Amino acid sequence: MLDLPPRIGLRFLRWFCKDEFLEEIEGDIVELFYLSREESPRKARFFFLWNVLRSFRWTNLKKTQTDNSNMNLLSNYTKIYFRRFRKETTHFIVNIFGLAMGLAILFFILMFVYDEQKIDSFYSKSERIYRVVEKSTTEEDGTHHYFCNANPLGEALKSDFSGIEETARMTYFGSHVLVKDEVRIADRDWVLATKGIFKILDFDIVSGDPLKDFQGQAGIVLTEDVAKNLFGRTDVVGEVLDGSRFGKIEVLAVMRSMPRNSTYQFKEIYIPNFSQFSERFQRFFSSWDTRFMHTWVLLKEGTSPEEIYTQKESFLEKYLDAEIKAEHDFYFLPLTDIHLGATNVENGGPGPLLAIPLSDRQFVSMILLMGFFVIFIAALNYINLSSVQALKRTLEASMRKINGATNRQLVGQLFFETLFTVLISYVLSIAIVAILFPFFQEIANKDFHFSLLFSFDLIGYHLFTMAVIWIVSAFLPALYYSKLKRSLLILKNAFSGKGDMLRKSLVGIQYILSMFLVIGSIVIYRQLNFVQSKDLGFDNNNLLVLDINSGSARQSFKNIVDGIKKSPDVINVSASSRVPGEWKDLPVANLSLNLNEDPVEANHYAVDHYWLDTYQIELITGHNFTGLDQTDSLHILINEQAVKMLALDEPIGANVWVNTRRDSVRMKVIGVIEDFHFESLYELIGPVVLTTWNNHVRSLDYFTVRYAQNPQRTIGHIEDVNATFDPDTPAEINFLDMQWERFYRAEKSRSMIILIASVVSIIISAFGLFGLINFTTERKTKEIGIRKVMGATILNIIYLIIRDYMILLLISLVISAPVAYWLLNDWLSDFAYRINLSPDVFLFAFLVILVISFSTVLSRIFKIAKANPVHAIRYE
Amino acid sequence: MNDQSLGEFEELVLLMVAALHDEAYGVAILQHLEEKLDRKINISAIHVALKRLENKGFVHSRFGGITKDRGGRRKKFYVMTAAGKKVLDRQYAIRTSIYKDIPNISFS
Repeated sequence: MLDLPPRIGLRFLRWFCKDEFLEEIEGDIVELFYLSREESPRKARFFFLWNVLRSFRWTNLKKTQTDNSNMNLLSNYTKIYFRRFRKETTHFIVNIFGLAMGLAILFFILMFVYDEQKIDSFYSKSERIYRVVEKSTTEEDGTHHYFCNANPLGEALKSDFSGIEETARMTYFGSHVLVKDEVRIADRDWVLATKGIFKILDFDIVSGDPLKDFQGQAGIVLTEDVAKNLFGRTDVVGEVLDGSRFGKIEVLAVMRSMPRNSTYQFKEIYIPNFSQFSERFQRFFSSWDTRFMHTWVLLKEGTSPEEIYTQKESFLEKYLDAEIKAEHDFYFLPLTDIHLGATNVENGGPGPLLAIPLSDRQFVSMILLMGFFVIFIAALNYINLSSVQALKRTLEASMRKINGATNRQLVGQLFFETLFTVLISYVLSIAIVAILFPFFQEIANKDFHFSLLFSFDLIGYHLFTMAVIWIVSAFLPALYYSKLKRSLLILKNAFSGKGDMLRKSLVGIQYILSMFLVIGSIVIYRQLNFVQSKDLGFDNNNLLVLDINSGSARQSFKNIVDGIKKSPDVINVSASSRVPGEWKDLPVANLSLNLNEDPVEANHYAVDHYWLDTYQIELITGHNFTGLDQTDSLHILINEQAVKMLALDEPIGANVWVNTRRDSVRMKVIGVIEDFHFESLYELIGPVVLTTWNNHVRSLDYFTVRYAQNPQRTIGHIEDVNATFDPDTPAEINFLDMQWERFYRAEKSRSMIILIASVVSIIISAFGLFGLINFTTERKTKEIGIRKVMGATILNIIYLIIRDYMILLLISLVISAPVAYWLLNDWLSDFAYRINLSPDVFLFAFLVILVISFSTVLSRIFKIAKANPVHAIRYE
Repeated sequence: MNDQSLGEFEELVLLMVAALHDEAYGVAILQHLEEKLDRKINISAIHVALKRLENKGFVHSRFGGITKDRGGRRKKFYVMTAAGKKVLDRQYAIRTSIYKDIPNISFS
């Protein structure tokens, strides 16, 4: 066998090679084969195949035969297609563009949704990673779900359940500072996590070992970027930082930045050594009556959470007193579900900052649905227009038939041409996506790669969508064709009336969907606008917030306030424990008139006497704090809501028990302030109590600066003052209104996506209407001519053409309005402060569509209506 | 492309066709070129070069008789045409004239 050249090579060569070259090439290669066979038959065979492959060149290839009848037909179809393209450019452009826009929107949305669903699923053990959610049920509060768990829960889970491979605990408490020589870094992207986290999540460790032992209270793992900023290099394992949350601290390892589709982006991870903590902290971290730690769990392979739950009861009984047991029930939430499935879970305590805000499935499916709406509209459009076109070509079809074409061939032509159009639109849509990609990333607040569009998981959707559009849009006109009688074909307009009903209902559906999208985007836009411009009860413009990150700043706060005030740009400065729109927890104090009463849970702010003026919160009755620490210390201010809930008839002078975690003190109300919003407008305004700064429960955490002008100079000034009194900590300054914007950022990007999708849908629908009216007017040219001769006015004619479409628009309004009303009411009910759905929204949407649709066709209709009837009658 | 141009590899093949006069066919050209150049050449490269030369009219070809060592396939022999000779002469003349212009500097 080895004696002869490999058969497969020969066959391949003979298959592709031009006959005129074959003998020479084959002969030479075979000769070479025999020559090299002397050396080694195996090599010779390989060499032979290699030579065959190398001969597989363009010049050697057989040229496809062109005298094949099918090929002829196809080339004829192609020719006809492009001729018609030239003849009816408008129609084709409208058709292709409409479809391409729909596809582009769909692709954007697919990418968005895909990315949303893949968040946090890139870890090698993602499927086995869970986060523990505590389910706390109390009589007063009902049921709440918290990410923060009892501090020792993680350790106890690991030691008590054999199905749990590893656990980790993490927590976070505000900003921190890292110091190395002269360099200081302050940021919020850090976390305190036990070693287990490195066994649960995959961190890309460049050097060092996060699991090794270290001296002192904590070690730290840095990202390369942070290491570079601190040391100017990345090989810093074993180096010691001069300052941090835990004093001098050793760098245990350096890692790469976390992938961008991770909920968290930790830049610094502190690893605690609890045994080195002060006794007080050790007690705190092992107390079950706390809620301070996020717990991560890695289950062993093959273990399901349910298996753990079976022993949960005895576990809880072992560690918890009966009285707090119900407060610390827990369950496991899969890591991959956190991003979309945790809207009902509150932090319930400190939590590391999220790099990607949590979203929910409802929104993702809403967006997906919209993508399909838009592509559906585009597809209907396309189907409509192409079926209309097919009808116009009866003459061509009949000529083909008379010349012997079968029905199958006619239908085949339709499929072929449609495929052409679909492919052109596909290419165009890819181009649109590519061009608008940066813009889209901005809107969606994501940074994914363009290649995602062609990822294995998404390409199927492309093909599926196009196949459906292709088949359906070719199929409908094909139905008419196949029913043709040969004799009828020669007659013109053999089908002028056919399919009208179908086309109109398709247009109707299009309009229902567009109307729906337009109403939705108007309402969402209005609501967001309402929320953002609503009076918060204080003026959040021109406010700068400076975090207090160190004891020295806290002690000299009066000096800092006075120092900042010296600048002419600054109107007022205040220090307080919290600021409205706070991103950490909102501390609570319980108010009651008598100690044994059910208390009113009020948000507690510790403030100085400049606070009201700085925020421009109105004092309704009574007076403000005096600024004299002795006088103020037992006085409080409360808001109107607190007055209402405490049922105080005469609030001024009333004595109220203020219960904090530490103790209960009886204090006197000296003033009532206007309600102001301290959370997003999703929440109702709750009761608020202001105490003076020198209470011992809440320490001061912020300065607020109201500036008159020149924020840049003001920031510089604040930094200088901060540096004088607290040289160790860099100033962390934020604009308050930017913090407020955070509440609505997700909504903004959502409403933007919805707005764009609905604009595109209107444009596509308008395209469709344009095409259809074009068709109708062309059809009715003669009729219009005759009517004009008989004395019809231009208005009569315009009315004649658009009457039907007006009725369609009205019908679609009637159908879409109630559904939209119902869905939007549902959405609005999430907001504590919301607009009402008034009829003018629906009217406005109707007008928008009407104007956009008819302005595109009006010039066309007008031209026909105005034309000289003689030309019209001679038409055809 | 200028029909009279000659790539480096084409020139080598053409030279070999001329040198092997009447005995020049694919495998022979390949073997002699490999020997002279001391490197591996693929047969398909030779075929391509030969076809180009033929299209430019520098060689012409004929089929030889049936031989046993090719399993009955005929050899295709190439000979240089007058045009081929002319282009080689020109190439040679250009090169020598430029070569002569090299100043007499020691390169060792």
